[in-house]
Amino acid sequence: MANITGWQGSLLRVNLTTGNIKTEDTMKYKDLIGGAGIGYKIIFDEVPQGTKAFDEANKVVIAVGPLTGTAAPCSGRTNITSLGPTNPYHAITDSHMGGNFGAWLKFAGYDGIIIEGASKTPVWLKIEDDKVSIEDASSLWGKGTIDTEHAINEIMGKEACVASIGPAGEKQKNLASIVNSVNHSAGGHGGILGAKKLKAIGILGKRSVHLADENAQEWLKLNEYMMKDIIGANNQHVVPSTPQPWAEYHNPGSRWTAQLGLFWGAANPPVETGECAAGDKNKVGLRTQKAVFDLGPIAEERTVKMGGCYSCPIRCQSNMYMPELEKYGLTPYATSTCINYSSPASAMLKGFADGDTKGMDAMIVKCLGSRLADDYGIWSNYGQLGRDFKFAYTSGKLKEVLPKEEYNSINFDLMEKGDPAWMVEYYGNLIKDGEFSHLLDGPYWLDQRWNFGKEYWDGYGYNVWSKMAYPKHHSNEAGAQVGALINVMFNRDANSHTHMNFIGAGLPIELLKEIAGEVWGSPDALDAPKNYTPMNEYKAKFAKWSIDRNFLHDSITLCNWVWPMTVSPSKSRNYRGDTALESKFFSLATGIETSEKDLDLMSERIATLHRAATIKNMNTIDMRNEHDTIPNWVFDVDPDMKPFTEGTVKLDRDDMQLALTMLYKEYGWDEKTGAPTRAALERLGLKDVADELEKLNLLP
Amino acid sequence: MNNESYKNDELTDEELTKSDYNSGEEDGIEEVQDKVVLLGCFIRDKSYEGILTNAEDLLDEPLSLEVDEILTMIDDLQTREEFSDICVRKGKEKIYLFSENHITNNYAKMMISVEERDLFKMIAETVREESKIYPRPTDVRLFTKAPFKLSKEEFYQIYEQLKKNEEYNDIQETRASNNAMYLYSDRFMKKVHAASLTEWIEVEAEQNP
Ligand code: SF4
Repeated sequence: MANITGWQGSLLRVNLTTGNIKTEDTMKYKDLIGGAGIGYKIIFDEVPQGTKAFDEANKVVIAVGPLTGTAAPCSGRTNITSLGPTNPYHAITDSHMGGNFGAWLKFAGYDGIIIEGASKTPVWLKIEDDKVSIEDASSLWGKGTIDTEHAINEIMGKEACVASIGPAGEKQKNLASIVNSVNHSAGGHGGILGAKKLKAIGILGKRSVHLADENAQEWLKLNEYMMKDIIGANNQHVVPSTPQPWAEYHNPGSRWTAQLGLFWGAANPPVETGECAAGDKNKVGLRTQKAVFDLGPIAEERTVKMGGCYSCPIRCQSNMYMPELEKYGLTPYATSTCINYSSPASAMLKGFADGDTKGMDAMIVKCLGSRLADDYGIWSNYGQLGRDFKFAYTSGKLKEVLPKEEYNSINFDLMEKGDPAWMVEYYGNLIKDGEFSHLLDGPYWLDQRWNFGKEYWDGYGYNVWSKMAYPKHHSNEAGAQVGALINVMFNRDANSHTHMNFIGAGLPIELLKEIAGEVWGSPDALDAPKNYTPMNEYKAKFAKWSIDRNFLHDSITLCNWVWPMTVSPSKSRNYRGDTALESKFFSLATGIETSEKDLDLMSERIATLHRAATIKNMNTIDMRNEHDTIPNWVFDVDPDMKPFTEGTVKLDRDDMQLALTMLYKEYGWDEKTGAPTRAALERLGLKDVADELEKLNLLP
Repeated sequence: MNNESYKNDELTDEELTKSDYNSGEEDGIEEVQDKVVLLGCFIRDKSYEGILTNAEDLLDEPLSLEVDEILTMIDDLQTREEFSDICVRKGKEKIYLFSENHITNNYAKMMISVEERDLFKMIAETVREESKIYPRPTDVRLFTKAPFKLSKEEFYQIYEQLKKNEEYNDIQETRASNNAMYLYSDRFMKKVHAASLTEWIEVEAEQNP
């Protein structure tokens, strides 16, 4: 193992039924990079067809990649792969968390943990380098994630990183998360740990992650180059949100919010972000004042600092001082980002008492709600939870399905009045055992139970994507057919930000189109926002590239909310990024000289393996009709408008069938069914996968 | 897009500034050159602080130039390769100078329109530019920010006047469902497109983070 760099070379396998703990060689999976790649292969190989998410036979693979734990920018993500309980077929999904867990796992000497079997009693896993033990968790069962973390830190020391589930996971709710470092949550697999009675994992490690021999100087140069010339702000937005002397362009939607007179106002003394011009590597961490972006201008004076994941210079998590939370029995702090803030607000169906969507009541709701959701280990399902509640409440369905006594016991008045205390009531009832808690089943199972009907599935604002019943995530409104294609390829909401980062970078459309031409072969790969054109092969290339980069980032691991570097803020580069950066870091870390093209092929291998695992789970090759379906609202929105006219995101049914064909063609899959052929699998070195699918009669 | 530029050695700050001070010979001709160098450095320093240099500023300390030497010196400055970053823009009555190392052309254009108090043009050209290049409708709150810095009241007063002016009849108004007001130029954007993008920017984008 002396020559292995980047990777640590070991995977930990923990069987909770037998109590067996052993290590295995990571390197047999090296062509699948790490993280999601390893996870997909293990689930494909080892979890029998027909297994359900909460069955003992299901496994959970928590894995990272060769860049995790290094100083590569934004490399602190952890990937979790297992069957997805929200999916109608319990097909394979992965969830992702930031924070410190992945790096700590590497420092303890592991590239991943395979959790199998199920314990009869609550346990937690204690990892201190080579010392790994299964510990009794009966005193932790029933606790929130924060108390669990504290209790394990009491035992292991405060340097340990703890990932745990809350009551939602213990109760095997589909919408349950795994949370590390207080607020870094991975959504969708918490209930599986609950079914296995695994409350938490605590990790402490003293190893380092080595780079390949003599690469340290090159690594430093590469890092310097990226920080100076390439990286932008969160989501790789490369222009500031306001006009600034150094910037040619600006975009009010940019997460590069830094400007003169904008502060981390609750820091002592307050810290001014100032203008953080492109090229100034020492101010990258000040560029994204995300609190004001997420919570509005009122958040400035409450911002203690921006925090974030291990080895991330972007820092997208706002740390807030919120004494108002003490009224609800919490400490006066909150820390979160993005959907974790906006999701609680979506359950305030009648708005906020002070009538201001960016006012103090809204900020209290977002901070209080995100704290409760993280502590209870509740996953918002990319905000779908709030939309499902909205449909159930406003349609009268909730009144119909809840027992009268339960309905009357919930203080909906708080929500009607816009009182932030509704958060306590709402989340509190979600983790009780009543009918209300079935909102945590997720759209497909909720509809089976409560019969939501056509209005819900076809309603534009409810965002439910096709038969697979996950929420849309940067779909047709993001790059037309490109976003729609990306949304059909997953078994949960598409966590692919590659295309959205590019579309939302903030540059003029002609410049973006030029870059699109260089990366995907033609400027026609990109349409102007809400001014779409019919499908073409370059859009299929753009979609495939985005999907593959997403799989790459979840495997290597890098944060897809910043990577890839398709554009840059550098005027002297004419805003070109560097899409080969992942392969450069990979080569330096592992010592395996790998070009961008080589790494793209490895990413395609992982994407195709994900597809193969989905086919095995669904037991059909007819992906086009059974999996890759597109909801009616994509085609029926704006009834008075035609597709491909200015001002609408409406798409055309036939055109999307063509889009699917073109995407299948890009992957070399069967164009009729969308299933990988033996030739496609063998081209990617997946002969054993082809053999297994053939045995199951699942090759086209 | 494989870029190897990280391997190039960068000039150090010292090397970059060396040329500014190398011409310091003490005879008469060099003295004039010195003044040109000083002028270049003065413009750069002000640009670094985000301020345009107005040619009239050159009459005052520290440069204290004579009126009749200003234009010659600016011409001279423009022939110097080491000052190729210095840009000269003629306004209605004034001449503006800036270093594009610190102020981009786009931003300088906005600053000059503010400086010249040509407020109709300032609003209209900003809106036209945004409708044309991004393309997006312009959030009117933009005009309360730097470099415009109009108060809300000032903006609405100017906007009411602008609406009556033929020259700007391409500037149209659209509102999001939360009533936020945006402007667009119908030379570059259709009404339906502007309305739909306004709704996206103001309401929908936040629901799709
Ligand atoms: S950008 Fe945000 S989510 Fe991504 S690694 Fe950095 S802090 Fe974590």
